Amino acid sequence: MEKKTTQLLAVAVVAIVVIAAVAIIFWPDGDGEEKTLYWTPVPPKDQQANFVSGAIDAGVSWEPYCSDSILAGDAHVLKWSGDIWPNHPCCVLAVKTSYLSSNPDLVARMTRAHIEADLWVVDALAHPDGANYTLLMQIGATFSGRSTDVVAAASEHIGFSYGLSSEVIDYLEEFTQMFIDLNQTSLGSYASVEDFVSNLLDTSVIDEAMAVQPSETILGTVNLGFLAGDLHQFARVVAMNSTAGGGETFYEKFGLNVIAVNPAGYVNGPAVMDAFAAGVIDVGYLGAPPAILKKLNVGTDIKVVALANTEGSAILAVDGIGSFNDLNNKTVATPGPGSIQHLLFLVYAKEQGFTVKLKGT
Amino acid sequence: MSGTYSSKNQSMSRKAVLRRRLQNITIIIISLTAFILFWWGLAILLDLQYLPPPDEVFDAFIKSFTTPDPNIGTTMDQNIVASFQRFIQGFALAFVVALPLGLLMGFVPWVDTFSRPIVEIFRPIPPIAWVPFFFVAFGAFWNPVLTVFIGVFFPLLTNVILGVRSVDESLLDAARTQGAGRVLLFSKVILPFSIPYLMTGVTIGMGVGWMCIVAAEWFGAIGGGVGYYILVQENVGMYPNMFAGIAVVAILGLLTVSLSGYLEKIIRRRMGMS
Repeated sequence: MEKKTTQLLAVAVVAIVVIAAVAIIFWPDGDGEEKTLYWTPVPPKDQQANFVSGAIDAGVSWEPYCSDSILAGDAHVLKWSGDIWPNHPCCVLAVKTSYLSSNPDLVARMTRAHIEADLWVVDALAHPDGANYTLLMQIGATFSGRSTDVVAAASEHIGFSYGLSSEVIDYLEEFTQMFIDLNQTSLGSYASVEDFVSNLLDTSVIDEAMAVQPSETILGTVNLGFLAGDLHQFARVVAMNSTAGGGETFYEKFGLNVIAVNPAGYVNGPAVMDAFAAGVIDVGYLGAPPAILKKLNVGTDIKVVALANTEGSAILAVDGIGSFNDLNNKTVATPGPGSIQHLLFLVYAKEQGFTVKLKGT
Repeated sequence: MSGTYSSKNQSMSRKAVLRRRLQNITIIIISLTAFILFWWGLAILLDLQYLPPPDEVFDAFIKSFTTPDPNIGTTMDQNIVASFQRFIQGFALAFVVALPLGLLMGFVPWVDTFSRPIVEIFRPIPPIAWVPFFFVAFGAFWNPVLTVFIGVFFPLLTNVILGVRSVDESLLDAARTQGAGRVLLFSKVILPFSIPYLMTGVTIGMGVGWMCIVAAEWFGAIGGGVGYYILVQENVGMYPNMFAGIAVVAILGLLTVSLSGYLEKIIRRRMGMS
């Protein structure tokens, strides 16, 4: 009798678990409130597939992932990031502060190489019929694994510039304040947002870089980190290309042996900051928001010495979504908290009167 | 006289058991205290932002339940529910596939011969290795469910097969002499005998399942989740919160494995197989 009871008990437990599992799968979601957006974390590289499968109605990502979806007809643009925040900074060139203190000349040379490559990119894009433009598209295609058409389309929406202008500084202060208002960080020992951003930036390096001369010999080695497949950092890609540099890379031209510590690139900005913290890299390309967050929250001591790009992100949507307001009760993919795309989406959605919730909550 | 001696022996035996349990509890408390003190000392000595001391982690742990996380918008109990839902779903899926397949593989030779090569190819693959594929192929909902499924499936399957093959031959002979055919042999002897082994597989699978769910949620999760919480906190540099999330996973794993182990003991005892 006892054995039978035990068996019945075991069967009952199994049945309850299976029924619960099925119920959870098919339980209807709660009715969406008015003007509510649901976000879900999807890496940009996977957003196109999610558009096609219908898992998401919209997505925020950066080039070239935007152009992937647009040119394939899987999504269209609702808003470019520049429509929301004109000329906003995106990726930056950052240096570990201790490395900057002990190797100011190498950092100046690194920055000069970045500037030269950036100017080369800008010039190439300004002359679409020129040989450098064709070379630039080929470099981009090889780097990103995409067609030159995608690279060309992506390049149109990215602003390549290096200067830390007052507009850039204002934006960085705004981003910092936004993170504070979202309770995602606090100033800690900094007196104000302006004080923090002033500490984050080192605007003197660009001036020192412009005084640097090319070198016939290698003067030092720099360990470099950057993001995987990110055309925002096109200047870095060009700087490492010997064809664009006329037989030597831009880094070699200025006497640097640059080692790409993670040749495939880091998956995101926080990973680049972790590489700084671990002492694995001396210089890195990453988005400004992860630099801000991890410098404030973790104290990772880096200095932003130059800009890499402005704009270059977009909110895309599938057919049937004609405007941002059509996204009511819909699902929007973002790269996740800490990214500039997620911040842009949160801020813009709230400006449009939406309540933003994590999908499934 | 002998009755008095026997009850006195039982009383002394119970006292000895109680003393042993108290000793064990004391040792456990000392061990955990030593661990926390070591952690505290290390955190103070190294003074690293990414190694917060226990008190900061504890504060973050409490706060995570009372205040929605500013990055995700969920409280820890919501994250636990989200993870637990996926865990149950993946576990249930593994159960409904592994139990019948294991019974068949153990009982029907040609089924075993057919299935074993496929099983042995997939068994050594770490469940976590499937996460990138599951995420792209099946999306954010099914990714963690299927990852848990893979993690739980193989321990369940292996133990069910073992259970079927471990049936005492004398029981089978006795049933056969009573006229039992293959169907009755299976339903009255083999299946009940396999249940304790199945519970062993469940216990092992529970631990593996929690490892899988955390890794799977790093690729994205609907409705939050403890694994996703851990990832986000690391991404934004909130390390006390990250460690609080890790502590939650440890507690959930400990609770589910302990519960499963307890049920297994009861079942084995009641079926005379302890």
